[in-house]
Amino acid sequence: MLSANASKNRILDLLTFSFFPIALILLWFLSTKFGWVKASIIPAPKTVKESLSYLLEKNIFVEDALCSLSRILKGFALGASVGIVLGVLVGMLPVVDNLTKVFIALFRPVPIIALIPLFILWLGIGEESKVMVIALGTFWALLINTIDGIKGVDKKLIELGINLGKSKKEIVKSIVFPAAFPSIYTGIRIGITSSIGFVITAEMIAASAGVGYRIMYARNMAMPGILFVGIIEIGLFGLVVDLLVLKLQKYLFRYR
Amino acid sequence: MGTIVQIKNVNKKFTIDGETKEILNDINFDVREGEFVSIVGSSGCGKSTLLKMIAGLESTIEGEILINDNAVNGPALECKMAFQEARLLPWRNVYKNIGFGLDKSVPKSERDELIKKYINMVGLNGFENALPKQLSGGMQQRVSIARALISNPNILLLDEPFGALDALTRINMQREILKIWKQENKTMILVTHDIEEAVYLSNKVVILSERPGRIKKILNIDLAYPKIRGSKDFAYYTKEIYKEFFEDSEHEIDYAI
Repeated sequence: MLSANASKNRILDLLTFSFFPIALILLWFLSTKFGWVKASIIPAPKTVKESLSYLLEKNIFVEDALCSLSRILKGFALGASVGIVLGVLVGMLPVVDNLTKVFIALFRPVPIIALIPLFILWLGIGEESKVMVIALGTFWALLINTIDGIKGVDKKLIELGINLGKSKKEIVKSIVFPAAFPSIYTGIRIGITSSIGFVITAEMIAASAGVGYRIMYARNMAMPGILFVGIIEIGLFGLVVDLLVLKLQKYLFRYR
Repeated sequence: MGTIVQIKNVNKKFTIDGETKEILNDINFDVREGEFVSIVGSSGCGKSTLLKMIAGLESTIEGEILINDNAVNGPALECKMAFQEARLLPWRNVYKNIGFGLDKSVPKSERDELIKKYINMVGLNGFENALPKQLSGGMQQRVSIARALISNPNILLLDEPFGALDALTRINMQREILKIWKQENKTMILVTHDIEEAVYLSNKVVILSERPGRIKKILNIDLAYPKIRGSKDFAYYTKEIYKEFFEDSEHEIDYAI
């Protein structure tokens, strides 16, 4: 009885879970087939498929994807490492905390998109300005979450370390870092997800390759098929990244 | 047996929101080597603070605490503590949590043997790979006690480690700690508000008043181990301690009416 109920629930879960995606795709097919919307506004699935084949054939699809991906990775690596290092220093040293308080309070609320023109002015429209945008976005996510993580370490565990005769170095290595790691990981997760948004935005403003550039190009050329390929590509990429990050999170913090 | 801990004219004040609160007032007593001493008092009387002061975990104190005739001035390595909450590292399994009690200077070859010995002592064989979240409260406390003992400290400080356990587990743990006390010849200082526990475990009970904690009485428990909880003599000592607390509160109730 119980197992019958359980499998019934699973079927219900699957149905509710897949309801919207299926309905959306169905609606897309129907509305374009029967001409409910103009093809220039929403292209037919067939058009999108043709655009995808075209992009794949000319090797543009892979090139764009790799280009955006490499920007994400470079920016993320830079921003995350600086964010974590500074976050650890702020979290552990009251002097650094005091020194940076005004700086953080002042610059953190500035939307990164507002800084893109400045980065272009400083660094040109080459790779650097786009990498910088992503790095800065990742930096804030990692900085704030690392500070929170380090400051939030249970003082009782540190007291335990002292009682056990551990050196400062050992306490940091064996208690502070492992205890702060879940919070730092949250920063990594936020950083990597928002990186996708930042790279697209930066590429839409100034670039000559990349998924964001391709979307802007498609708009200028009035090619909604290509535009849709880009949007779906970003969505799927975000989905895969999020799944991987969540899977890793479950594995890393299985002790919780 | 010589004196191992001396507490001389100790006072302690905390400043909370600019207001100075007296926590402990004029505490004096000695603990002899190998003795089991309990400090009994109601919550908030400063008994845990006193224990932390012995361990050198409190920054400022007035007066003097000596361990083996040396003034405590910073973390006292002769004292290891079993805290009220087991304070296990949640990301480490039982084996590694107990191993955390060892100094890193202990060579790898000895480590494994020592850890196994203490896992055995606290009866956790088969749970080496279990994570803290998979353990019951009593088992977590066993890990915590093994971790404190593994470095072979002279003094084991017990800060109400059985306070959060159910009655049956508590009685079991009390028996185990007595067994370890006899086997290992340690000096043990226990903070508790459980009067029966204090009588059952200790040679000597230090009774503290409500805040600010002052010593009301020091009672030697002249009973042979293992003590029998139902016995007349046992009841005599528990009554002696009860009296110290409930005479006062009866007066308070009178006033309240």
